[in-house]
Amino acid sequence: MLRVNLLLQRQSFRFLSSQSHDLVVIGGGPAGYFAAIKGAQLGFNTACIEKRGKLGGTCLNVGCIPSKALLNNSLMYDQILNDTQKRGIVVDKKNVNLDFDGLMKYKDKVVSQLTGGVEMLFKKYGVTYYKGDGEFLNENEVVVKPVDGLEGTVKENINLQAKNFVIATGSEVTPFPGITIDEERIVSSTGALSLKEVPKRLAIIGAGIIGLEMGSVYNRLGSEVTVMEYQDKIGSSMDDEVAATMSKVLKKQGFNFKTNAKVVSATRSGDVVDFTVENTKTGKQETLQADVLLVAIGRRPYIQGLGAEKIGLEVDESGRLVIDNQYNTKFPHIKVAGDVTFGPMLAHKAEEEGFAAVELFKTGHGHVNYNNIPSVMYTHPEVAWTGKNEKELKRDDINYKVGKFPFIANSRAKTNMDTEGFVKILIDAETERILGAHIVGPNAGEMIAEACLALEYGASAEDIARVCHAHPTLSEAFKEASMAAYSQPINF
Amino acid sequence: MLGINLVRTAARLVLKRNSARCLHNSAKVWDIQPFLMPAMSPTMEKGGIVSWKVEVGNTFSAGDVLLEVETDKAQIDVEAQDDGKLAKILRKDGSKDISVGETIAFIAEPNDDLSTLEIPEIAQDKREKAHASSGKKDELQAKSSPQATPTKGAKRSAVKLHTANPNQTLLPSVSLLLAENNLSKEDAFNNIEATGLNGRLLKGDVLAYLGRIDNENLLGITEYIRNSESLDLSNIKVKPRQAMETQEISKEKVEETKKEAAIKKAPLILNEEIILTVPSEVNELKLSKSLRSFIDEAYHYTHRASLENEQSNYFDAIFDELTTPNLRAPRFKYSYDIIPLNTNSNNMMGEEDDIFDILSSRKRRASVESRRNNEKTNDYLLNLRVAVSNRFLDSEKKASRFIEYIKQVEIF
Ligand SMILES: Cc1cc2nc3c(=O)[nH]c(=O)nc-3n(C[C@H](O)[C@H](O)[C@H](O)COP(=O)(O)OP(=O)(O)OC[C@H]3O[C@@H](n4cnc5c(N)ncnc54)[C@H](O)[C@@H]3O)c2cc1C
Repeated sequence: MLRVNLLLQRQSFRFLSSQSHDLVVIGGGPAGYFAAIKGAQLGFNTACIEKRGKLGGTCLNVGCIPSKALLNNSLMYDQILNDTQKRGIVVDKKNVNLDFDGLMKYKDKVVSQLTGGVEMLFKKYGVTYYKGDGEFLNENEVVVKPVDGLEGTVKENINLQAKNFVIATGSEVTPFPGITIDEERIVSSTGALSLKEVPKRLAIIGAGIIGLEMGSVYNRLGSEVTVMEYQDKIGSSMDDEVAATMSKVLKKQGFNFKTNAKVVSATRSGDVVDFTVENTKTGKQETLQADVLLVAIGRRPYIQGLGAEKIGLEVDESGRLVIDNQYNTKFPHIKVAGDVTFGPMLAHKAEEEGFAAVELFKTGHGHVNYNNIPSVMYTHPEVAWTGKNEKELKRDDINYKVGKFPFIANSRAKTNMDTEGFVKILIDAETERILGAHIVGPNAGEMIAEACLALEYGASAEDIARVCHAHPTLSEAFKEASMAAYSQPINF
Repeated sequence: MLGINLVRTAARLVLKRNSARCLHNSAKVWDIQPFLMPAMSPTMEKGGIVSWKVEVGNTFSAGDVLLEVETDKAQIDVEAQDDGKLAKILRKDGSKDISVGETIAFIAEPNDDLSTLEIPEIAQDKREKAHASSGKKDELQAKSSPQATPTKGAKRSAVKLHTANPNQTLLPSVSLLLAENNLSKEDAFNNIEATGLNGRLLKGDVLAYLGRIDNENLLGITEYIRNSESLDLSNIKVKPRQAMETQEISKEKVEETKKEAAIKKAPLILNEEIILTVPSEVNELKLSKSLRSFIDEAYHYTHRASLENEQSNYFDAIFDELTTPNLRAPRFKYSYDIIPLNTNSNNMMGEEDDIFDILSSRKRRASVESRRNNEKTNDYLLNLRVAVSNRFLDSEKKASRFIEYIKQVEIF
């Protein structure tokens, strides 16, 4: 028996060491796993290479999902502590305890459930999954190499030939020049998602979405949070009015903001981090201390070890793989999707591109509407937007009108005593077509879907206003803002 | 009723200027037209024909797949933008390496009798063909390329309008507006062109149709939104890979700079005199109005059109600067006079035609015929002067295309 087994194994090795597929996807993040599953569904013999050991990429492992797990539960904790009394619920604060380990374990459990789910989907649709490091040998062949210490990794180099390839290798944290990330005291978002304890003082470089979300988590758990932003305002990708509102709201929640702040240096000494900040307006420097410093200045495309340059793929000055409008590299059979190329670094954008790239291989048609990719920040209140903001419309000389409705005038928000924020609808002044929607408020991330649908189908503000919205719901605020845009609101 | 009718004509007028489909409504004779190899992407230069999906002699409708084209990137269906009949195939199934813009077939009107139509000699050289092609041919080409990206920031709308899709559920705003104005659903589908996704009628479409808003604004915002829908891949700065390659590029750059310098030395003025034969019911004022908009259109068209294939995402940054200097910058300036030659104003009671019934870009033969049939015509001399900008390498090419375009004008 033993001999037979051995023989069989050896045979399967030989069989494996060179394989051919119709489609090979490199990277198992949102772009990659969507491309792989769609490819298999379209009838391609599809393989996906992932070196992390788990599918789902940044998003499922160290991004969207774990951060949202922490955000949701930290909000609950905060509400139990601070938002019960006035509702007639008596909570003995002394007996409300945070089990930080438990919080982290919950997050890890959710992550492994979801990544495992993707693996199941691969099985279900017949995607061959190679756990290993993918590298182009030439434009028609990729080698999968074993990853040291990774469970289930390929046992030897396997060469994969394929007619078509999708590169979906994603992004990595942009390092801060001169600051060494040790993921303990000086951390990236990845480290911030797995701290050992709640830091007494958390300092954050970068007031973008990731910085403000992680800041919210630890602010609720009791950290003293200071956010340093190089620009003169926080949330630079947001509509100005939205950003200003969030600045006010988060300050009220206890955030310290330092804008026009340039971090000059940061060093760890034992269990604390000392860092120096310069005010870019006054030139004044101050030295501060924190228990944890989070570097959240953005992410950059990741192609290390991929062999992209070797086969002549072009990279732009920011490290993005260069594509045309059908996601083609200079080789039309090698397409690129997700964070590793142009466009906003968002999971749903990556998914859409992975999908479209494979459809293009199959049918020559694929569709992503880059004017309608929503962004959501999962603070409380949430922030969500899609389409154009006011600054862009002004820049482009578009004659637009604004319709705004505050949640303080919405009956559901009032009932819930959760009234911070507003809905703002931007429409073309003449055609009344919706150009953008910006929401600060409870559940904004869910509400933005209505705006996306409206934008996609060219709805005018009136088209939203004339659709019956349930009462009492937050969505009525969306309807009222639309009414305000082309005519008048009723409840304000 | 009168009010609405007037408004409707006004709306139609503007739409016509932007829709090739409407041009042949006013054409009395429809010549056989060359069908050019379409550009399926901005970077496509050559392609092959996988197979024709329509047989010679058969008619097709707008939206039918005419043929399948193969680029180095994909196989793509080419849809007909107009109804027509396939008159002759020049490049058969399986042909490879066909340059964009090369004539691959001839098409006629659906009702044309092929036996009475003369198929023109196949033009020899691609560039010559580009010059000889009338606005309509080019429009056919441009319109048959679904992936052709509209030139960014072009002031003049290049938006393709759809006939309203008759299977749609109307948006609430649209059905209300129609009801308020006593328009039936059928009226709307037949008369209002749609700017929405897949022929969806939007509120703005109806407002423009009713004359409540300016049609140009409707087209402007539609184009603005459409341009935002694709990834902005302009101005990609590729990281130089090797010193070798960089050197090669800089050599090229020197060459280009030399060429450009040479051009800079000699500013160029092109003169063209065109005789226009005009039906006598068209008076001078009307003619000059019509010509003004036609020439303006030609000006924008020639600035826009030939750029499409030259845009590539793969240009190196340095190279980029030279090859795609400000797309919007004018390549030439023009001025013109209209001089009446032998005005005999006999027919003053001509019907009120709108300018697109008067103006159309058609072939010589048509005008000869119309002159034979109707002796009451006047001749005018159009004296056209074009000052070619010496700032761009492609200026002269564009200027002469402009002149060629204008020479195609026919008035009947
Ligand atoms: C803290 C945080 C929060 C976020 N929150 C959100 C959010 O709420 N909403 C949202 O939309 N986006 C969010 N994002 C962004 C989102 O995670 C990314 O946009 C998304 O993951 C990009 O998907 P991708 O498939 O392009 O790349 P990735 O998810 O980065 O996946 C790429 C994968 O490829 C693998 N890989 C790379 N090279 C190779 C190779 N040579 N061989 C084999 N495998 C390779 C990597 O291991 C990786 O798993 C967040 C990001 C972070 C960091």
